[in-house]
Amino acid sequence: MEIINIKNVNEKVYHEILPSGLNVYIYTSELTNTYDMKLVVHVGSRDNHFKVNGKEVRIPNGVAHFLEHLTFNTKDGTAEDYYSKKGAYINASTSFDNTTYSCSCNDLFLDNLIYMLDFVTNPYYTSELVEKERGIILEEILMHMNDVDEKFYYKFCDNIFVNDTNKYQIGGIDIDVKSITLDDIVNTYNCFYKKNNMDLVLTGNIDVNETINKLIEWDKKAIEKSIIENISDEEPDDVNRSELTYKDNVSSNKMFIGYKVNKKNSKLNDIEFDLYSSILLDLMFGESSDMRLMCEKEQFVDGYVDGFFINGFNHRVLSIEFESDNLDYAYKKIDQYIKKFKINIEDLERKIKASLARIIISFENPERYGSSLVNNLIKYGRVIDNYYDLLKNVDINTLNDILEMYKKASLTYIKLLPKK
Amino acid sequence: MNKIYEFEHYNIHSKSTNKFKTFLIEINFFNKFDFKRLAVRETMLRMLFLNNKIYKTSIDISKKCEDLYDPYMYFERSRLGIFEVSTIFMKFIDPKYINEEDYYDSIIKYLFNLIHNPEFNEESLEFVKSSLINELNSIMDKPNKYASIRFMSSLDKNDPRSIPLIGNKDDIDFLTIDDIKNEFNKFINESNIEINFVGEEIKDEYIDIINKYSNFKNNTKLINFNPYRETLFKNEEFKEEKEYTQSNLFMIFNCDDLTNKEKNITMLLFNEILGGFSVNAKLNYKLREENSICYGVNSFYDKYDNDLRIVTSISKENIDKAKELIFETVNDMNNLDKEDMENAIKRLKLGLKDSYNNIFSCASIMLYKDLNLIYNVEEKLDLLDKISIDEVKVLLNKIKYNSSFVLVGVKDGNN
Repeated sequence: MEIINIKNVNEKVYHEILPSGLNVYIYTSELTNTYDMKLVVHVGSRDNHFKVNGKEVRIPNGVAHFLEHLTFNTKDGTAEDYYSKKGAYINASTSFDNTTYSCSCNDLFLDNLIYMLDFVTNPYYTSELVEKERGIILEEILMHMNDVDEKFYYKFCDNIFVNDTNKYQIGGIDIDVKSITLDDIVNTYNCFYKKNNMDLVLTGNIDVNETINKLIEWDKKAIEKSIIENISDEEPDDVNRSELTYKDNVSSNKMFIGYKVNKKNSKLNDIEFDLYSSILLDLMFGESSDMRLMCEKEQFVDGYVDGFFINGFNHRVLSIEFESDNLDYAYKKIDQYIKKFKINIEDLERKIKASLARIIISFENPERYGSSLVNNLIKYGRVIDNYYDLLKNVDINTLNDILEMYKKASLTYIKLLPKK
Repeated sequence: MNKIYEFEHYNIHSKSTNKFKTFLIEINFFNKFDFKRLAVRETMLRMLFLNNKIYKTSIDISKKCEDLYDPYMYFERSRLGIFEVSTIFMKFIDPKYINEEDYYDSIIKYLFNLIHNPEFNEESLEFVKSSLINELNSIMDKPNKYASIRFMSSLDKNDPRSIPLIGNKDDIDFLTIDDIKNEFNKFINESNIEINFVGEEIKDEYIDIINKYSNFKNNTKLINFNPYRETLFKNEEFKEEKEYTQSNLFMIFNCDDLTNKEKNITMLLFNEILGGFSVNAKLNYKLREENSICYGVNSFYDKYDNDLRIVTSISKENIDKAKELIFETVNDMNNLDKEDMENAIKRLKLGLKDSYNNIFSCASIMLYKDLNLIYNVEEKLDLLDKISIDEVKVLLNKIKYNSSFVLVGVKDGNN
């Protein structure tokens, strides 16, 4: 077993790889009365074309999400039936790149853990269950379609990405859901739901040795490993479409702007690239940024401008969202602001100081730390044990290089106008 | 360990616990709910964080914040029956992790400097007004929020839920700087104030520092706090059409003449069994699992408003069926069995125990227990263990259907 010491904050994470290839991470804390378990399967909405053990497979959009719904069924009922009786909470979610099953409880930790591992790794799918779940999922899709902001977001993704499957709606659209078959479900399950394609993250007042021993015993019912290879058509560095305008049921004009860069064009690894990008975002659009004051004084947008990142397989898109009576004017102002932005060393040092405190605070709630651990495993495949050092060693020249990348990025925008 | 520090114009409710790496201070301003003051209060509070006589502009305020290791601070407003509670809060890193002398003094001083030295100007006012109107429009763009507000205003124009907590457009539009200044003075001097303070090892000297900077000189403390509303009885079916792909259904049931225990414990359990967030809650089971007509359906009990609301989103063609199934499920609460009870109690216990893992929940439970509005977690756990099926079934006689609202989605759902 490996003990990963999180540098400078006196915390540690235990790591064990079971014989089947399942990675187990445990963060213990005596201060919580809740056990939290997250089983991450590395399959999401973007995985619709892949090779497994040499065989090529194509599936409709939305299968990973459909599969997540179906997995809760067992021969004896549903997983919820079991957990209801144990006083535990079970849920799951599907995103672009993962499906995560989550369970939390106050007691019977090992029983609840083994049950979760069992029901996820022992599928039970029938045509009747597929049809029942299809009705529920179609209602869920309708609910999402009612959300104009969500639709707007996905249209923006479609502007950005040509082939990258991160642009598709996680649950698919209605024609996808109607076309999914039992075979699609079974094929996807057989490809991705292998223990060597999973991570297990546990937090709580856990006896590490007892838990690992229990897991090793459970793991003896091994399933063959699989070698999965995503097939994606190459994604160009240029955007799919440079602009789009459409109308919908909204009360005000909305706009997204996207600056698409290829992180492989920098000398940084993924963790460093994302760290530098997030520092830049905070400097440009954070609460102490000049942009905030511009928004207040000049009022060229309604409220503030929001910045965030959209992730593709290899691309990062600095995305800006705002509402305004004059979208074109606001767009020019924001774009000029980015193109002329210069990093102020004092601002940078202050941000780093603030971030160091946040590292300590991130361990305050073990369950929340578990969630951030899951995010890191999904994005980077490892626990980040040196975030403190990375922050302290942020190099301004490198930061400027990343800033230049975004300034020269391929650009797209989308406008949403009221129908009436 | 909990302790109340009593001062002339407010109390400080403190809780020492080693569970967290941060401290939380919440200044709770209690006022009777007043439609006319919703917009002006929201605007005033936002402006507090925009300009300040000491720290000047909003980015200076933020920079100072970052210098102090970036505490999480802002305000939050909520309604408790006939009262409105505005809370200015600050969550900051435990001083023991900071190797700076006087860190605690600096950060408390910063908080109260912000509160007591606002700079209200026309520019900020216009900015906040524009933001609020935009937000109001966004609220009304969301079908479930729109439906909720339309329902309550159709039912009773005087119901606090008939208008968003940020006010309405006309009230926002006509606000002046004088209105803001008047509201600030009233708010600071006339609100009833109760302060929460949670952290590791709360020392008397920490309390002294709060008292040194708080400067609340004219307020009165909350006495005999009773936020409960009168129940409205009406019996109507409301319907509206809009261009959405899915319909929203709201149903409301009155819950009258409940005892204190019923309000605080028994209804909690009734609600969890009927429409909690578990797939096995009766409503979810009936509408989603057995009939596949919705993704989710839940019930919400508000003891201060004396009602139970049931909410779901469904296709247009299933509206009548959904209503029928909901009535059936509510009546079926008469056939509760031991398993229903035990499972729901276990789910509730999980949530209750988990509430101590969150510093904000800790603060809230402590305050409302001190105000005699709720049982604390240990008391609830104990009472849940002793509750009988008959006690829960009896509630069915006290729950009466009031009205429903359907926002019919008339847009074609094909993608």
